[in-house]
Amino acid sequence: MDPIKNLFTFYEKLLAVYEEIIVLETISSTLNWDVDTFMPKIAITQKSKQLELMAEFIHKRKTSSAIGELLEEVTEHKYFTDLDYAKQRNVLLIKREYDKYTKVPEHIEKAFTKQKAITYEKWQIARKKADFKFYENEQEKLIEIVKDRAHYLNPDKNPLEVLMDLQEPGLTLQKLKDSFNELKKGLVPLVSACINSSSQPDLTLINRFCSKDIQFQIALDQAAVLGYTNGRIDTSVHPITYTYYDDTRITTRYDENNFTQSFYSVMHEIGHALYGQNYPSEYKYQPIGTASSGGMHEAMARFVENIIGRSDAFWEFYFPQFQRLTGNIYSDTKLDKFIHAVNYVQPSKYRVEADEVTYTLHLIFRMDIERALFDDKITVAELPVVWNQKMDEYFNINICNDAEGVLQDMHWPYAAFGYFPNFAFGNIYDGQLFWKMTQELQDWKESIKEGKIISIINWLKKNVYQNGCLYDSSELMKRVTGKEVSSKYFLEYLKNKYTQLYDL
Amino acid sequence: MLGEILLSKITKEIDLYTELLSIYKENTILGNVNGLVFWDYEVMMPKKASEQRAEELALLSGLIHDRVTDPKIGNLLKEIKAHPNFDKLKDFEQRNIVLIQRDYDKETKIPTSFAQELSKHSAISTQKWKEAKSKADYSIFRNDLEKMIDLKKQEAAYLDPEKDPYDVLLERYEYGFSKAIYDKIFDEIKTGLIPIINSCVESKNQPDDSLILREVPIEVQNTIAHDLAKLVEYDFNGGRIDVAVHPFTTGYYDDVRFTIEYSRNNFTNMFYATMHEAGHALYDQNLPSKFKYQPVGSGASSAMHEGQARFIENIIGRSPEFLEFYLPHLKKLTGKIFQDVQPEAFIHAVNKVSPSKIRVQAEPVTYSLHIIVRYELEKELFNNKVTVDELPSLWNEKMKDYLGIDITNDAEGILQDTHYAWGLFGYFPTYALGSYYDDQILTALEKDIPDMNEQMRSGKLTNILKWLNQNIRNLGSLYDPLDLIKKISGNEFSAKYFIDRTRKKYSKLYGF
Repeated sequence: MDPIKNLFTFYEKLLAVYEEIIVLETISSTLNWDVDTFMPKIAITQKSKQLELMAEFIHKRKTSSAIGELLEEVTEHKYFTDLDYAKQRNVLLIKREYDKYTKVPEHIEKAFTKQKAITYEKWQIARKKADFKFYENEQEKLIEIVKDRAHYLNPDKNPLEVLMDLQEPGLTLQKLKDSFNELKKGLVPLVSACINSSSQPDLTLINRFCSKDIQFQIALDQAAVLGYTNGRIDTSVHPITYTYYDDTRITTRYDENNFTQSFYSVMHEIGHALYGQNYPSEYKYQPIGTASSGGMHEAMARFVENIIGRSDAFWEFYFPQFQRLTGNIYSDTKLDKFIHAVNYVQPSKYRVEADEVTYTLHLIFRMDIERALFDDKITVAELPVVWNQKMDEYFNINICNDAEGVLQDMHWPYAAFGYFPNFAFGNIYDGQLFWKMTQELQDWKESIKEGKIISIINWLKKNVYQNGCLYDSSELMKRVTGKEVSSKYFLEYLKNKYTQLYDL
Repeated sequence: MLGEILLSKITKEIDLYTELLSIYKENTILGNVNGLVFWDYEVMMPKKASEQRAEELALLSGLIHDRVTDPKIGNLLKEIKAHPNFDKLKDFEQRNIVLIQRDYDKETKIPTSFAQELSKHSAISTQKWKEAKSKADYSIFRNDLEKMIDLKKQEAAYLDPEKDPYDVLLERYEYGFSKAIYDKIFDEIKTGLIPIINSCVESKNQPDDSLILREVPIEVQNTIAHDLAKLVEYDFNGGRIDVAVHPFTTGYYDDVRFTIEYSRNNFTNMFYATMHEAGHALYDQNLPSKFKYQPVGSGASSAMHEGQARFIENIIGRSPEFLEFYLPHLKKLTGKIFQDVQPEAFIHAVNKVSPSKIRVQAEPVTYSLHIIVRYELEKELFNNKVTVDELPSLWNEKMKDYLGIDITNDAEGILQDTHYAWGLFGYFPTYALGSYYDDQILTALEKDIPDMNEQMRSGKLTNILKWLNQNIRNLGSLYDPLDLIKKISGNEFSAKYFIDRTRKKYSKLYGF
């Protein structure tokens, strides 16, 4: 057989195996969505069995010797580098995934899965009891296994760096330190300037009673404004997006005494949804037919939520419509007061409740802690104390019990170390993309004011969505903005915005 | 020493059995996944996602097919059956083996290439059927129908080359049945039913069905649907009601959902769709939990499932007693709409007998004749006594003979059902059978609960529902349908109960 043809055959086979994996993942995704939304109460055990089975099928396929053999045939083929870029990238992505799942010996993987489940369960109880000690031992065991696993994945690197690299390929501890130092240096004074400013927002504005029905109508209207069509909007305890091309669904939750809960959840989730609906269609069912990274997905969500949805331009356009939809709830409200209210800055105990400015600081001190943990500078037992010190140092906030402190996130008990940078880089990417966009779309503000938000979305589509996973995020940022990833753009964006809002 | 060998043998046998059952369990779970994906497709999915969803369904059915035909199952079955300690397995365990063997035979006797050809042709002929139906032009469908019949004959030959092909298909959909049995039943039904229908149609005492054709807002109908489902003890903690184009039920034990549809100007569509689907759902919600994920932990048969649906729909839902109880409720839920309606007129209107062209719109009395038309034609087709070209006119003749109906075009005649496009020959009889099972089951139920009618009249359904749980639903498929009927009623299966009850009920309503 013609050797290049031979290579194509192997490649096609490899991709066919992978397509099946992706289809299985979309099935799992539908099952998970059902759990979050419409599943009857008592069906949870039955449903977990289905999810377990699907996970097992997926895992078996991802680690199958068939993939290993095909990968070898393809990557060691003498014409491999003659494959076009997209194909080589597909192979690389499959290889990354294969390594991730096969480098760790099975008994470690099993111990890991088991310990994760135990720790997570105990953490849930610990959180209820506000008692860190209750699950401390399990967390300790889990971290040991996590380190062990990381060592198998790459023995030459710091284990935390190995884990971060799984999330944002190419992200090193040094890069993280540099960006976070810069951010911290800029954010801490900005926060204190805001809270010490004499110009403070009237927060009662966002706490005016607004019925679920009205909020639901607003959610539908938001979808129309942002061009989110062919997708669902349902309700669940935690807002979430399930998206793969033509099957895309978001959820929200309604708080009748705080419309921003649903409003900004819908903005955020639609940001995710638009990304997923606009992955490059020619790469559907291929590894490159997905998001560039978790961090980039978060960036796309926050771009719609914050950069667009919290901008004064957006509210200049949307406020009259919003007033109409809410009846007379906001008929007496001045636009500038309203804009300030939805952009308040206020240090808080909980990460998920944090505003646009303080949010990143929550992530930075978490990574301080993770680094110290992985460098054995602190022990698991010391976590609560260290946590509370950090809250004091960063926010001047006093934590009274572990539930509102170290126990608030599910990430550590779920072994998701090295995961928080995703959220931070979402913001960092956004700042830099926003900077580029304002250069390319000189009239972006006017477009938003006229309600032509679609022109902004189209810019994201062209520059981000349509690139799928052709590039790692740092590479994609360089291609789109012409610059290395840097925190300075995000800082600049925040400084400009909040200087104006708070009269600094 | 001997004891040790024996022990190891038993252990080994348990291992084999456990292994076989664990394979079955996984396949069942995979089937559940398929069910949810299908439900989502029908009820929730964004429209544009249909292609993606087709990929998912195709992958799942491929996976399921590979797994149920896995030679490992065949080997395990062989080993278990040949094992000296096979007899030591408990009855229900042996029954599990029997049921797995039956399924395995069904699935493996048909070569994969043929199964693929068949499913490909189903897709094509369904397309053609849709076109033919919309244009009322049988000729568009004719060739594909002919090919489908040939394929089904071949399929029957694969399943059992010794047997008559139509017998093979009939037994495929309802275990224990054959032409011989159906011929006898349907002759009895025809002889018994046609005079009853004639008496109803000719009676001077005709119902005023404009009573039930009053407009009822959709939101109100939705409330009624939920009210009815609660009344028949459908468990909303393990289920939900949604809207879909065709009413259907899907699920397993703790997650059984059904759909209904609303028509503004005829609330009985929603009413009886709810009762019917709730009947299906109740069967699945009340299967024996100790047998969950085992073959015996499923419904006894298609017709028994249909029977359970029709029990709630017809035996309870169309009974004068239940309707008498429910009318005041209905009045309360619907505001002024039915304020002036009298019980007797209401009961008669709901139970109107009138021959119609379309099977799915037929009421419980004439329904059987629609099935008989199909059965008789299918039988002759598979005996080569009738050709595909003769089908439409023979259909129309039979409709005239049995129901006095003139069919003016094939869309309302031979083309009305989707079944033949899918190759579902031999399936229709199970629909009618469900009702015959019901009336025979009822003879036993009335012995145990003599004041059943009084209980229904006071809206007390609990005892009846409990009885159905104990005697049918909780038994899963421990018994084949004919055995189950005999176990419950003490008699061999017969259609005479259905005829007797129909005569009794409708002679009273129509005064003959």
